Amino acid sequence: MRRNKSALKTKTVFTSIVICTAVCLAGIGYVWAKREVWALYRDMKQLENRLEALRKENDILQRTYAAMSSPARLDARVRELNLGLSAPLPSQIVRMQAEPSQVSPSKAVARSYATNLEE
Amino acid sequence: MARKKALTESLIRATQIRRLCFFAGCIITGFIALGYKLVDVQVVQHERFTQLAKQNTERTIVRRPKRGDIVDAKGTVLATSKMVHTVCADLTILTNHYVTVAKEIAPHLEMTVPELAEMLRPRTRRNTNGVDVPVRSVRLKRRVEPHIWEEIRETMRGISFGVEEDSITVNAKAALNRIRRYGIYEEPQEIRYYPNQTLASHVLGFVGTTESVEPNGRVVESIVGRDGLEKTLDNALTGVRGWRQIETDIMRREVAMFRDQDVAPRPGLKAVLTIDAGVQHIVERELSAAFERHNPVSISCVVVRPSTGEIVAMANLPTFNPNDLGEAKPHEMRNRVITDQAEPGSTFKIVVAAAGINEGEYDLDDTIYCENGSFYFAGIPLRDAHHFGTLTVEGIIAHSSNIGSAKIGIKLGKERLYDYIRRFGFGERTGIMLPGEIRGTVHKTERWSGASISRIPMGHEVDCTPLQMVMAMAAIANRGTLMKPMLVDRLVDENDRTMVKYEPQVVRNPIDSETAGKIVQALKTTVSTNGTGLKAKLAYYTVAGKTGTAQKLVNGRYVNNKHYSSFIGFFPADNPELCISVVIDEPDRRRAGYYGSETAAPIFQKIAQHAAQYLAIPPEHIPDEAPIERTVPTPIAYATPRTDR
Repeated sequence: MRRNKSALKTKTVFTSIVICTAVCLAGIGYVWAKREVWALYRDMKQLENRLEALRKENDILQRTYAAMSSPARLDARVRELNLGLSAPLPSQIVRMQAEPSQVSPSKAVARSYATNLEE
Repeated sequence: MARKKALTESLIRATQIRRLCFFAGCIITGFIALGYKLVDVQVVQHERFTQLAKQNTERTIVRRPKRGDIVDAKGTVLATSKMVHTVCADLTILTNHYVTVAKEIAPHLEMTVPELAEMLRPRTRRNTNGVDVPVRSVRLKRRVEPHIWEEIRETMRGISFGVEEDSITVNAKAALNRIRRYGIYEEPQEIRYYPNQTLASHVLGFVGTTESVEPNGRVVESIVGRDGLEKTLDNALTGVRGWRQIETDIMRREVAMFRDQDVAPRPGLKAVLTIDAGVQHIVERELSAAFERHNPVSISCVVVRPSTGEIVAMANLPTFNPNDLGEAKPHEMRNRVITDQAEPGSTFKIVVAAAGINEGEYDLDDTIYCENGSFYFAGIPLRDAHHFGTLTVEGIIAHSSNIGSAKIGIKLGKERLYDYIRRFGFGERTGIMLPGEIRGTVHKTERWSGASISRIPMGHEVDCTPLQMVMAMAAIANRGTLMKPMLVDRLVDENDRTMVKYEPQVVRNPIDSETAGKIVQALKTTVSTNGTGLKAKLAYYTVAGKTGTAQKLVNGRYVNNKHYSSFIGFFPADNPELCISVVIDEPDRRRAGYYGSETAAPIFQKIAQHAAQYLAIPPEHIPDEAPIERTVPTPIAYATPRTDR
């Protein structure tokens, strides 16, 4: 009877320890998960800020490119540097036309489409 | 003794019970009070406190969309948007430290210290109830570039107020930190930026600002199209706002974990125009040189592809810079190509000649006696620049005979002439995608005077816009098919997917193809040694065109010193790629003449030559060599410049 009582006590203690451990682990897991979620959101916010900064930088670069490639600016730059650049005269342009047999099927289709358009 | 002890114990117990009752009563009362408060807070005033709690932590951020860009046919950006800052100050935070702040940030704002200090000085204003209240915020400067704002922020972070901050109270230190953090703040502002400055400014138009209230009650400025394509395409360019519902911490930083709703804004669509920035630049450069040479009131030019009606370039001088609207004057901002009407002069003869031939009344070889330069009709003299005798219809167009044209018109009669004028699109809007286009003036035949039938054929008593005239000429170039002018090719989203595609639209066929071919033949003669438009001749292409010089009406009378000179032509004449109109309003006759042949034709020649080179239009013939056979444009073309430049 005493042995049975002792066995019951051990079982109870063991069950209690398991339950406590489980509760502790669940608690730790919950805190860890919360911490991870916080960290992820913090990283996400940082990445969003970085993305926004990059977008702004990209916009600035695009505007700079647009201003630099303005025809008037390029024209002025060519004159300023005295590069002697100008559009070629029609007589300076050599137009090449491949023989039909040498034209790939896709180009042949494109050519036929262009011819139809022209007609 | 025992009795006395029992009495004492009884008294003590009674006292204890009273005390106990008292404390129990206090506790119960306290709990009742707490319970009452609890019910009051949680039930009775639940909504109010919920709102207050939300106001403290929850924010709705409106995510504004980027306005769509406007690009040319080759992708060159003509109009884009950028974010700048409006720098503001909170005077209730700055208090008496405003001079220190003014000294620090005045250089960044390019203002003087006294000027800025005056703006930052704490003051009051009288509200609508007549009560003096402190002015909270002031706008210091608009359109501040982002890097300047960053400099200001850095300056404010490190600003020193000349006190030992370790020795002051916590509250005083907090106040100084509030100045550093919130004393100067910014409001984001989107502005429109035109990287090419004045290029195609009349086509692009400009934007203005409008104020709207955001869900959080904040008043924000947003941009709205006011003129040009910015106005016409405003809905497509604007885009759709998004929003984000967030919670913030005590430092007003977002706690991303509690983000509730996050809807991204949809950027405005990008408009791809038919305009070619390269050709537009060529046109504006040549017009600018011509403006110097002729000192006119204005010069306008339109370049059109006759087969589709696509506008490749459209320019007016004087012009304006849409980046700097404050400097622009109203007359500079007018797109004269569509808003100004004038009597076109001799260029209108193509309409009468086309009508005469299309009706079978005349052929190119038919002859008309031109009265040796003087012809009276309805008691009013009509004169030619030269004393022409008998001319063919082709000669009448080539030499621009007023009398010959009048006789064609007289033979056609009022009704048929009026019908053809309307068929060519005069007296109605072309339907171009720009605001402010006018119809021009074509009187109904009932309102014509006796002399009208002889005046209208030479381009008098009828008013049209330069665009109407160039589209009429383009119809002849296009074998008699009148097209609707196109400015926008397509609207695309941020991933360059086409959302809307605009196709060329045929308006009608005012004349048949055969008649158009005959008129083209006559117009080719005009640009030859036998015609008035020799100065428009090109080395590599055959040009067909017509000169025009009209006296201007001043107070109801034609005056000799004010003219409206023009040249409209197209090339290559038999397979036109471009139709170009050059119109000069009041060229200075003392400088380089006033006839369209002397003033507008050379400008046409320069624009056409450079545009053809730029667009690599295959030549019809090489000078001093036999004309080469023109083939269908090949899909593969390589430009190889010679080394012996």
